[in-house]
Amino acid sequence: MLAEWTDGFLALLGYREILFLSFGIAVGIFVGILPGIGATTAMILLTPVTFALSPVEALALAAGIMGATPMGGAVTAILLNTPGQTANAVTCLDGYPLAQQGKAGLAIGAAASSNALGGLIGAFSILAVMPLANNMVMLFGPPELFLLAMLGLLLVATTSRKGRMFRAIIAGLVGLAIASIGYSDLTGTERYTFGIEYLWDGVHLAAALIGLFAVAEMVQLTVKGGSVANADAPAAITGTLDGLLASFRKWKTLLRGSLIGTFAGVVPGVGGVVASFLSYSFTVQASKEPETFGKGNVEGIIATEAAITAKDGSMLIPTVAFGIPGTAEMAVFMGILILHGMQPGPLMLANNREEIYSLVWALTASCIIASVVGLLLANPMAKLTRVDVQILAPIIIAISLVGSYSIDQEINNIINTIVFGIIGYVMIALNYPRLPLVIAIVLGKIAERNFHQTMMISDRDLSIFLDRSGSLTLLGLLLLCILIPRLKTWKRAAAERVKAKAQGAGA
Amino acid sequence: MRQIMGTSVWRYVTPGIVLILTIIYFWMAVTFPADAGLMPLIIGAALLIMLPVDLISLSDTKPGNWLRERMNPAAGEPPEDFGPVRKQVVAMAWVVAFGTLMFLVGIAAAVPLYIAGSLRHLGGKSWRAALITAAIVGLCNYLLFQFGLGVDLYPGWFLATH
Repeated sequence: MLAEWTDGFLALLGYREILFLSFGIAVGIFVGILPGIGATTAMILLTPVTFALSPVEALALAAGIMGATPMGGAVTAILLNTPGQTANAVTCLDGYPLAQQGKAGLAIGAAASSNALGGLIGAFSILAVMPLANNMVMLFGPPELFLLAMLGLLLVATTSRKGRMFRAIIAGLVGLAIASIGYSDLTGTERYTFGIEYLWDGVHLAAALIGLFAVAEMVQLTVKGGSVANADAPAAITGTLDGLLASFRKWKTLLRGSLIGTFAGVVPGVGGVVASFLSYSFTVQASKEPETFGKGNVEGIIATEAAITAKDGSMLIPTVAFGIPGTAEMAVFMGILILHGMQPGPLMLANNREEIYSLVWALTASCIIASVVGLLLANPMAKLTRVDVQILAPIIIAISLVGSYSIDQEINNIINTIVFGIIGYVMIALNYPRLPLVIAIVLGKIAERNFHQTMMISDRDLSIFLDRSGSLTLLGLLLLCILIPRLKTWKRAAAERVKAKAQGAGA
Repeated sequence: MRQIMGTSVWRYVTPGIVLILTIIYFWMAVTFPADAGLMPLIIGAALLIMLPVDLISLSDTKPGNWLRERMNPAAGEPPEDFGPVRKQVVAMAWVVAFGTLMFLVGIAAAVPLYIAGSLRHLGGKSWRAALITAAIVGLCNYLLFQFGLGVDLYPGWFLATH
């Protein structure tokens, strides 16, 4: 085993392998910054390039892109409230308020270190989880995926800022309504498409996200004037080292986020948004100061970024070990494997061990190097928060709309983005949270599809949720998520009563 | 500004529109086959209960104050002050105009036109600065997406149909 590890590492040390890994990292950071253009597009574009490469060189290139994209996405999410990747939408929640307070360096530092460490944990989890992966994948059938989606929806409500739970639920329900647009997976019935062919597959999430965050934010800034960072925020970009160290100080948050990301990656069909949101929600639940989240708490960034990069590593497990690509990105990656004579599935574990170990090393290196590059970019890029928004906003809006079109070269994506831009702007203006809407759009489809599949499997018998160990565990978790905030409230109220009594007695 | 039950009319507009849309959504869900309509019916019903509560809690009335205090404190927060409504509508209209321009004359031409117009009219920059920035951004955008990323930029309705 150790010899294979070493061989895998040594195979990466050739100058061509290092060159293609570096090229992949550069491309990954670049596409990560551009809204709408993700690792999937970059890998599709570069697949023809890999024809002429050896398997290890091709894997180094792909790993470079996959490992570096989240860091690029985090930088724009923090500085401009424009998530480069859909998963980075959660990073905006605490990253952008920090940038507004002039603490962009702290936020980017935290994102960089949690990215690197989360990636490290995720990549090495491939080796730790691989022997158990079969059981984990088999454990997750439609009932469990339905309950996981319900857990996410429940967390949307329970982790919203104080006093905003009611409106978070309304936003979540509107998101679920939007998720029901398109063909019904079960009956093939057209729902709410009004004869528009573009809506047959439902609302395009990435295009909607660009509108909700990037366009809405830039329009808001245009109206307000000034710059992204508040005028009274310190001019110098400082605190990057503090941010770097924050991931080590908050190691529990980092570890929790990485483990949630690893778990989410193993389950096919659970994307990065779900991983980052679950990690964020559990961190808020576990915190002693939940009211500080959403206002610039660095733990929010650590939890999110660690989950995203850990998920990127572990989602290779179902792809490599079983030939089940859980996401579009993994489907393209599987194409690259097959193109180079590797057959994803149990045989690959036996026949291509060296390549798998090289992949793990390349992914690890990619996450770490991308984080270093992200740190180097932090200072020059943080200056963007000082640029006059009347110049910055039209440029960001132009790049965002062209990026939205570029997702699948569909002109209707632009209409989608503008409509969601208007919705996002109205939501900001009227104090409705936007994230529940996004999470509900993602989870609504998963929940509905898996609920109907569960009912078909069980012949419409709801007791199926109690018969399986996986669904029972998730039901328990659902119950805990309902009870824990209640218990915390009662405990706080009891403590306040005791305090008031003591003060009364003292007086 | 005209008020209804102690609150500006404007504050009722958006939840009111969402309520009307929800009624249409729910009504359409009834017409779907049972399996396809189940989820929309549940979502619609929940929204039909919650949106009126949200609307009432906006009002400065006894039930409104009670609901705001116990269920919906966010309804009591004043809306974000972004300045005059006209300015907000104009800023959003520029984005809509940009989208329309992309559709009509194509992406490559729409980007510099939008940047120049927006910088000059919304940002109050000089024509010289606006045109130089527009030319640079337009060129970079074209090179990046068309050549760098191999995206076939939409040529526009005029070119596509003639």
